[in-house]
Amino acid sequence: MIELNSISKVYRTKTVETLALDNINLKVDKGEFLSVMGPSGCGKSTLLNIIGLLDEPTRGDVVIDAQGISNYKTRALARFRNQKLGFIFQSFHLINDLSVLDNVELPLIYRPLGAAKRREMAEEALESVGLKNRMKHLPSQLSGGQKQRVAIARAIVGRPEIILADEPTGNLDSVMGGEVMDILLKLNAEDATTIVMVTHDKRIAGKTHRLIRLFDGSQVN
Amino acid sequence: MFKNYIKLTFKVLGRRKFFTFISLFGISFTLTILMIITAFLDNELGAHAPVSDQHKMTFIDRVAMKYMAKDTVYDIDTTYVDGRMTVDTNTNIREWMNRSSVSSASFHMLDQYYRKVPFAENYAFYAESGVFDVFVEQRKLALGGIYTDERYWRVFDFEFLEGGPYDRSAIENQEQVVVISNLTRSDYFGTDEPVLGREIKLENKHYKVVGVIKEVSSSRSFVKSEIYLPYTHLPATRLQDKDLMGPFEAVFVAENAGKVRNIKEEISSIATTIPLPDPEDYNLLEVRSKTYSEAYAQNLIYEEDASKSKRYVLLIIGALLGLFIFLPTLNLINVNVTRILERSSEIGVRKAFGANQTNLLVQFVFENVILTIFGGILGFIIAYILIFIINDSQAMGNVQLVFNPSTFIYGFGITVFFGIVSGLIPAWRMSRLHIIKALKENLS
Repeated sequence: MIELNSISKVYRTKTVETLALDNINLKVDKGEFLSVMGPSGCGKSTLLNIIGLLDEPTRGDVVIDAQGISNYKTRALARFRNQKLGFIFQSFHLINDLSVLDNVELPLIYRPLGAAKRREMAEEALESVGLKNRMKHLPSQLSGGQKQRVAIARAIVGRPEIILADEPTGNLDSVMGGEVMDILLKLNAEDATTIVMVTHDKRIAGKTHRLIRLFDGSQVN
Repeated sequence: MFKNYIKLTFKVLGRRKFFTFISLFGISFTLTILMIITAFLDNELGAHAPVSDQHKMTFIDRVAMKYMAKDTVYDIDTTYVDGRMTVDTNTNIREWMNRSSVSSASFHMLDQYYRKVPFAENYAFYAESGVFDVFVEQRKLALGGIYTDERYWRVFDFEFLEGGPYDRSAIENQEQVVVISNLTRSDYFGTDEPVLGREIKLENKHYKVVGVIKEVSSSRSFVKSEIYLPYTHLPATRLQDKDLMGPFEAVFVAENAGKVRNIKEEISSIATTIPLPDPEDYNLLEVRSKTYSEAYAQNLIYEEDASKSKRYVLLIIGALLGLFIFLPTLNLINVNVTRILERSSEIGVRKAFGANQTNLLVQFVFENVILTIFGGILGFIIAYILIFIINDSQAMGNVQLVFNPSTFIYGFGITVFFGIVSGLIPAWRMSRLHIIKALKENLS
């Protein structure tokens, strides 16, 4: 499903060159739930951003769903992300001006879908995270756990094959984190959605199929 | 998608009240000023009665007689070529203006040479009288007058409130009739009731009022007057005088606006056929013709060549309007950059979930156009109220600004221009923002 071949990422400023990822080779199978762990600054988020086509590697190839992405232009990348990928961020990144329902609908407005269909799909996604009764609320009226569940609904509303979660429980207490994790596990088990999740929490990582560790930009056993 | 944008626009504007206020104030204030300026320009230069045909009009208001002297200039240059001195001579004839005299035209010249100007379908001759001092109940009224022919009333479409113009026979028979403005009616007769048939005393002669016109805006100086009389009441000497200069001016109406240029050429061409009274005194005659707008511009910035005056005036108006549009647009761009920068996280999320650059551009420009349309509506309302106040208080004399459809169209065009330009630049900048950067930082 996801294949990273000899991926390196170097950040350059005028004076400093930082090697964020060094020759990463990784395969994630369809339906697999992979967690990525490592100390802060080891390159976990960079790796996730490269898989999510939000950032470009300095060297190496990314293959997703048997499609080489390297030659894609910005517009094609945007379409690919819209169709295939869903994102969950540690700080939720919900749009405060929009209602819960509108936030969840967001990925669908970039697809050729009618308003009624979009609304139906968004309501369905909210139902699956148990927040249909909150769809008219604003994000500011929700708890942290609820916000993250809205973010999950937004990530799954377009039925992507891959979900990329960057410390989805990082800002939540253990109860709320557990709830979020349960949703992700259920999604993986029932819909065979491939999930790559960055986490600091060993206990949470233990619930996934496979764990990889990064240290100073390299993969370690 | 647009429904979503509209919803978001209203929410964003509602949430960011300060930015919304600053933007709305900037747009509406600028538009108000622009609307009043365009209403004023339209009032000044628009084709309204009594100069509805102004685009077809050509005026003769000045005749210049000049003495052009000629000097022969003989130049001798000495140079060395191959060690030998050579002499190069050159003879030039230099023409220069020794003296000139400028005035309006005589009746004789217009009557003799300018009654059949090709391409003109109508014309009129008229002369300003100066001011008649009239005493009414121990009050002195200074009434400006214009002596006209009967054609004058067909060239200029005055709005008659009562009666009508005097005709050819009244002129030929030197009937003592007069057309007055409604302000003169109030000032002289002290009433707004009909005064047809009543008499007005000018320089010990009694003139019967045959028509009352609606007062002309003071900006139409060509046709504005308190009273209008048959030109045959001018002293006979002024009509019979064979001089080329006198008190008269002329207006010609072309078949269509495209023929105005031809009329101007014909007027100059006819001038070359007019014999000068004493070539020793003056040897060149210029009959200066100008269009309505050129004549208007010349009143503001005097240049001998009226077309030059028009260019200068247009340049100044263009620069001022440009400044009025450019500065607020810059300010709005700045406000919008800050406003959009605050939403970097939203831009990041939208991009992550599949928005491309065009989607974001359309979204932000759309938001801005909505905002500017609101500003525009507000501007229209304020301008409407201000125009009403200006007219009501007579702050600009008897100039009556009109809130008309063309002003609305100019204003709307300017509003949309504001919306697109002030939204496009920041939106374009932000749509190119790197996703990671947008998500990570609070860029504002």
